[in-house]
Amino acid sequence: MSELLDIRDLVVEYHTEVGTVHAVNGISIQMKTGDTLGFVGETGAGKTTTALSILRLLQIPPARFASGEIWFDGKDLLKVSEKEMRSIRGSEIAMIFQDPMTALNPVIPVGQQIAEVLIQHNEITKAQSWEMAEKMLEKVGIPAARANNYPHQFSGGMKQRVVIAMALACTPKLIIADEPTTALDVTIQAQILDMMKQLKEDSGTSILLITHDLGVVAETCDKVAIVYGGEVVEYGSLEQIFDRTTHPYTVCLFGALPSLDKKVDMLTPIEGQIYDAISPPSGCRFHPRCPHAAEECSKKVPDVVEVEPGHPVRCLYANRFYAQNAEGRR
Amino acid sequence: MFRFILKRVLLFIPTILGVLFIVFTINYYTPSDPVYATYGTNLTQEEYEQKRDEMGLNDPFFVQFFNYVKNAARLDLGSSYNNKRPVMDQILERAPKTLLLGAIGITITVVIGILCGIVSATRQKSGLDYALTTISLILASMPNFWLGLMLIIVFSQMLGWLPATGIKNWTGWILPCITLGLGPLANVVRITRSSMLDVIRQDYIRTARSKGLTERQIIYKHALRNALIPVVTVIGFMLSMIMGGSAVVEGIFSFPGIGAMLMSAVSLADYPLIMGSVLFISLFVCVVNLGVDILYGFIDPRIKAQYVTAKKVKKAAARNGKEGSLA
Repeated sequence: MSELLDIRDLVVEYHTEVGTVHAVNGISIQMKTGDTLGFVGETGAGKTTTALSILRLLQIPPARFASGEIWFDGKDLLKVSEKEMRSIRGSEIAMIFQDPMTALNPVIPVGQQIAEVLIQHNEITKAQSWEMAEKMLEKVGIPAARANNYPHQFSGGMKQRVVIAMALACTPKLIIADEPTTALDVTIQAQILDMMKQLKEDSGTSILLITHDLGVVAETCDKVAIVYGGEVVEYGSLEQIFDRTTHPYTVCLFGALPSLDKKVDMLTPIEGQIYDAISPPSGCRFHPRCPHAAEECSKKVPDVVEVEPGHPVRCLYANRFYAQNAEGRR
Repeated sequence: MFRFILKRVLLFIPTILGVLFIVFTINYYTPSDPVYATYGTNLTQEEYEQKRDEMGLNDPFFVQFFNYVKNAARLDLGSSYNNKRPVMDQILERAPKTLLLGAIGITITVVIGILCGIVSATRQKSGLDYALTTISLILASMPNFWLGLMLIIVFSQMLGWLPATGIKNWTGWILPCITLGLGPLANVVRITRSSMLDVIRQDYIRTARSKGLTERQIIYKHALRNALIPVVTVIGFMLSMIMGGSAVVEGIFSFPGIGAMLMSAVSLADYPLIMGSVLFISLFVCVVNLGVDILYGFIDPRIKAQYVTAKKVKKAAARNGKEGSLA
């Protein structure tokens, strides 16, 4: 198995007072070393739950791993001991969180927050770790002299740089970035994405980029997984997803994007309510909102169809849509 | 930082003047007579008038208050009506014991309270958590004069382990310290617990976990300092309560401190002694509150930033380039 990360049929549920929330329903993804995988879906699709599952950071209970395996570098992360998991967190898999405003501890200087992860996973002295932390800060474009400053003395974009420096500190094999630019304004977004790309090239890590922004995906990723209702509905290379879009949901996502070269008065929203994870619809999970839904869709759970090599789609009519959409472009 | 402290110390003056004024006014209108309290009731009318004049009791209210403050500023707090000894001497003699009692009491409260709060929060909804919250609720609803008496009944009368009154040796300290510390302890447990529960749900705790830190490191290095911010506020309030409470507790256990002295001074209408004790207690509360505010700065850098003067902020900003401490 040459995959760095191999998630197989992961099922995660939350047991709450109002009922069982089916957050992740059999997600399978594979990543090779050096890949950047875009994990795209709307709010509540199960993206963050999947990410937190990889690091086993979900609060159990209410969360529960119902089934599935998460293989990372030859180990099933759902089976290893908590102690071994701790040695993986931060050193082999690191995470960049969505909101840099709250992701840093307000009462600890940022340098120390970076040095801490270095000390935890390397046999070094405090002074050495501090020196390395200063170097990491410089790498992300923050003067080393500011290592003594506290998070409240930084702007949002700079805080996210600190978070990234922290994630990169131990040169992990995999970085999970959970909407790293969502909380930032657009100019800062571009800076941060460029920086992540650059750092990735320097260190050769793989990135699992969680986002709902297809623009970000186009800019940074080489593989894309589209998630809906806790399932991967379409997976493929950037080119396959963007040029030979097959699943109706993915088509709808692109339809909802504003375009620079066409003047439109109204964007096309996706009709209906977002997927209800407590009482999921029967059959295909997207059928209540799908513009092409047939009667069959509400009865039959669609299988994964590989419309072309390396481009699986979870739809009953995958082949027809694939042909149509490929046709439409010609 | 120095300027901040200086400003706060100067603010002590109006605070203490206010306290003295209120206590002085209450004393002034209390229907007991200092002359009789000092010299007994066997005086002729003439002698009585003479003594009254000597003691300055015929002066107008504000003149009397002004004279008291003037003398107090020269550390002359007058002499006790009752045993005729200078109030200052009596305070200096008794203050160390009261301070030690308060210090032990607050240490019990803070150490046990915070530890129980952490345990309660990290094992939320466990049997231990329920037990601790129930016990602290019971403790919080017990007034300390009642608790002190119950402790005397159990440990002195029934078990005979500890002396009921006095401090002939260290065993005499145990019951007063426990009585003083136990009531506010409940508050510290509850505040620490709720503040800790709030903090361990914060994003930065998840960040700490994602770095591979152990649970112990997460709780004591990352969560506790944040959780302590509201706890320190409460401890500041509590210290004044403890000092007030020490009057009652010292009275119960006949503990030779300022509190017991204040209690007996009140029952004997010994005004100089009352004023002196209150002055001491309020000064202590002021100092402790200042200490708490300084401690705040060490726990929370965001608050410390406010203590720094505007000039320094600008300087730091210039040193750090475009984004300084103002951001």
